[in-house]
Amino acid sequence: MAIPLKYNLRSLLVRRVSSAMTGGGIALVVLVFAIVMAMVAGLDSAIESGGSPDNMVVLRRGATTETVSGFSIAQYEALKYLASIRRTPSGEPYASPELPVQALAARMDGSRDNIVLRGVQQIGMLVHDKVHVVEGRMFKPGLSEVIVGRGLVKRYRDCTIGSTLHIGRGAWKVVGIFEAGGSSFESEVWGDLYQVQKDSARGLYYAVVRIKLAPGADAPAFIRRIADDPQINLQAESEADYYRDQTLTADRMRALGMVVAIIMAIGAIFAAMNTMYAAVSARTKEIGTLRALGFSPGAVMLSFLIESLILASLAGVVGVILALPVNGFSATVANLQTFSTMVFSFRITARMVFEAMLFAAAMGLLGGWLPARQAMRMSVVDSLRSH
Amino acid sequence: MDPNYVVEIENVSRTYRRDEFEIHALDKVTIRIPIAHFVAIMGPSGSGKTTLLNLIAGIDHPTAGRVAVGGEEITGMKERELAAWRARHIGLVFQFYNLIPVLTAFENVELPLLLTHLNKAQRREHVEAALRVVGLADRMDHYPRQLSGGQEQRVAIARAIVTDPTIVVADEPTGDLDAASAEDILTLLRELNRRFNKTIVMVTHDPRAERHVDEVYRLDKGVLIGLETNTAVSARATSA
Amino acid sequence: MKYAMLVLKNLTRSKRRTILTVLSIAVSLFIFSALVSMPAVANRFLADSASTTRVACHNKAGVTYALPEAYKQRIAVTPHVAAVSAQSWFGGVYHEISDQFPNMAVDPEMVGEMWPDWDISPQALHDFQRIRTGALVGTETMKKFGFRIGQQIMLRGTIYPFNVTLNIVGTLGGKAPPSFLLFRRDYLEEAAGRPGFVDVIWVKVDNSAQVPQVIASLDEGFANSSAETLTEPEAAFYGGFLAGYRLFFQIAELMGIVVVFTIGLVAANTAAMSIRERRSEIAVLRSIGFPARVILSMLLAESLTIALAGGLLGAGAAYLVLKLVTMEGVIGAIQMPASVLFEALVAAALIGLLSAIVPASAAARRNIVDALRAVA
Repeated sequence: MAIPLKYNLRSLLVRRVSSAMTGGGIALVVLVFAIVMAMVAGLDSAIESGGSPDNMVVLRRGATTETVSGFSIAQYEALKYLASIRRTPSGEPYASPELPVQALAARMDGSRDNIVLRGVQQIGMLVHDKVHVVEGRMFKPGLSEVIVGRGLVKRYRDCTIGSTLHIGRGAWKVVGIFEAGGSSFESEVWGDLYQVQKDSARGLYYAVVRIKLAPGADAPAFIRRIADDPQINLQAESEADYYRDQTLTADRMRALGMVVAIIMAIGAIFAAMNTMYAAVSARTKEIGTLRALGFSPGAVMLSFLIESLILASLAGVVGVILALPVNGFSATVANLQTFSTMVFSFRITARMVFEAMLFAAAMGLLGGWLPARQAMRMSVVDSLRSH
Repeated sequence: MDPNYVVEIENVSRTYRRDEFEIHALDKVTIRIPIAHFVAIMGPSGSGKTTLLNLIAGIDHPTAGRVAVGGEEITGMKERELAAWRARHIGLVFQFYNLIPVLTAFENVELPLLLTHLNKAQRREHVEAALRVVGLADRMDHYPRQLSGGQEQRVAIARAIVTDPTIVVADEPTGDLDAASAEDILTLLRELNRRFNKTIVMVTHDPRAERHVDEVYRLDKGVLIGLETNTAVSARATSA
Repeated sequence: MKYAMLVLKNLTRSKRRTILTVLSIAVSLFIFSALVSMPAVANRFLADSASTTRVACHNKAGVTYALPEAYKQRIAVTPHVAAVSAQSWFGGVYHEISDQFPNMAVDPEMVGEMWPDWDISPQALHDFQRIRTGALVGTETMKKFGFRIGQQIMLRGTIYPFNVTLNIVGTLGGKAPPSFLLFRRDYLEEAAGRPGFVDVIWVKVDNSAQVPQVIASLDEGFANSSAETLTEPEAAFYGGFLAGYRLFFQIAELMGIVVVFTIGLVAANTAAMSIRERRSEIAVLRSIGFPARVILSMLLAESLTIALAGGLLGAGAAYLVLKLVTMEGVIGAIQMPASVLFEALVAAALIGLLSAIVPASAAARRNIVDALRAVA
């Protein structure tokens, strides 16, 4: 049978200052890991959650993102009445031509950065079924009215209902606030398509068509048709696929975060090793006694490994708990693909907690391995002889 | 292997290296210890008596020769086997008690039983019995730091006998105790030997020990120089 | 100094522990130096590289709103304007989207005058003006893709629905953003069918003191027109792009501090452990007659040596690694500023001192008799 757990638990308690400091180190590494992962999860979520499963994104061929795409109205007209596209009861297709423009807006502190001013038609609210006006009302077509996303409201000037928002080349009256399930749409300002086209002064063109397919429609066939029809000649993909490729920002952050976390973990592992070596050294006589009494070398090694694991796991729990307040914290970041500002919220998920705990356990195992092996390998006679 | 002898040491030598020096701790020693005897191994510092004890207890290997305990040859056993064997056959008592500081007296005595298949209730029975034998049943939940030196050693003895081992091996059990406590411990060991027929092999400096044992083996510089049985021993002690 | 020998011997007492401690401090200060360098470099870049006499004139609504090409003439005749060069962002892709580097088209005639601090060789300038498909490439991008002068490359258009084929005629050095690629605007205009719009008009002012005045006269001059302008000094213009990284920088700095704190804890622990183990030895030294303050300084010296060794190792490693890493966008290779090295060493020294001060003072002043009596 194995050396009892209470031996390890009480030994940890006896050297509580030492254990606390090493545990503290591991906890902080887990904290950093969790915060970075929460940011990545938040970024992913903001970008992806704007999509709907039956929506398509249609862009100019070769365009990588909405804001660099552009095509003619004629091309839009050619695809508008395709059979795969869902219709309203009155026969209007769920096809929303849009023009998202990067425009400067002033923050509360006066600094300016680019956000997206999206020109949409009324049908856009139906196609983007996750977007809802929650305060005020939708803008009326043909007027210089806009609705602003929730993420802008407390961060940018003049984003309250009734204010006049200066964005692009004009003055727009804010008539409503919309929410979009926490997605990046909430960092945008939406206005009438024609008004935005006029404002951008680049001619009357569209950058993207967002489409909702009819139930049971053949998506691959639709995509082929969009590409092959010479009158259309555009590029279509599902919203899910589109957003999957928009992860550059999150990927960069994830890469940076992982590198830092791993290097920190190496530091923490060195620290854990130091502590465990000291523990083994201080308890040499105990180890000798246990071996003399008949506990096998394997049992001794396992015991010290478990001790290290217990310490690291407890530290992991502390680290995760310390990270929890970050959940829901909203921040802005530059979307590296659209070159506009995006509001997102940090998100802590169950899976991330699990990964953080695994990370902590790994640190405990790696830190405790060599010292535990040494404990196992000591000669019984020499151990008993030590003071 | 002769059943009358519980420990058979045949032509055993033990040499080890310390940096560039070779130290001959034991040189061709042959000893046979009869069953249910209480024996002392004595000699000046560096005589090899502790090394001899370590070989009997199975915590060290001889460089040459054979060691058999309880009829079983332990010379060639691998460490894992030896560990299991020790758990079953050997009870150890050390000079500095070697109790685990973070465990109570009860838990310390219970330790060797964790290596058996006894369940919790059975273990409790054995532990309480052992502590009763050494007279410390009322201190079961004390930690070593809450006990006196003599009491700690008695707990250690309880731990040594709790599995009913083949032999009890004691290394300077009175070395750290005052005269009164030392006397108590020696009496207790004698008692264990007489009442329960436990074979006890004790390494000691303590001249008082000579009165309590059946035989004294004398070592000097790694070689066995003499064996005295009790009558001779007690005769020398009283005449001194 | 005669005690230096004792201090050194103590360090080698447990080599493993000393090495592990030095390594863990080195690792953490490596991270600290690397992370803290990022925002430091960004700030320094803006301060150093940006010219004091160059201003960027763009549409007030945003760079993507564009300015009419005709504005160039009006700007050129404004008082104190020494040179004018228009720029249009192309945003082409060389291989993968993730490899992207900034590429834009500029007026070839004015390149030398507008960006004298970009160290473009006379030969390169000459070729750029002679060859319609010429391109000038920053050193970072040259190195990253192994380009050579004379090489032909193709950029896939993303904003524009066509690709461009360019011939590299020279490099951008000096204070140029090392990742940039410049090609000729007339080539772009022709391929695009001459739309007549530009993203930014760069303006060189003859004297840095005149900059505010020039900015004012430009913006006021174009106010109330169909394309109102916003003119900014170069530093502010690039600063706007870097603002998006603000969150990254904040998190990087936060992580850097957490890392230092973490390791401080661990170092403190190790120091305390090692001192505690030597309790009786220290007591013996004191009973011989060593004064408490000598013992204290020896222990502190020990701890400081370990910490500083770790600090040098970590910061040094960071310096080397950062030289190999680049931050895409406006900033190229990250060179660790001296200020960061200084901060790292200060942090290391603090860790060394603070981690040992409490256990060392206690050990130095402890009652000798108690210490001698204490069982290990």
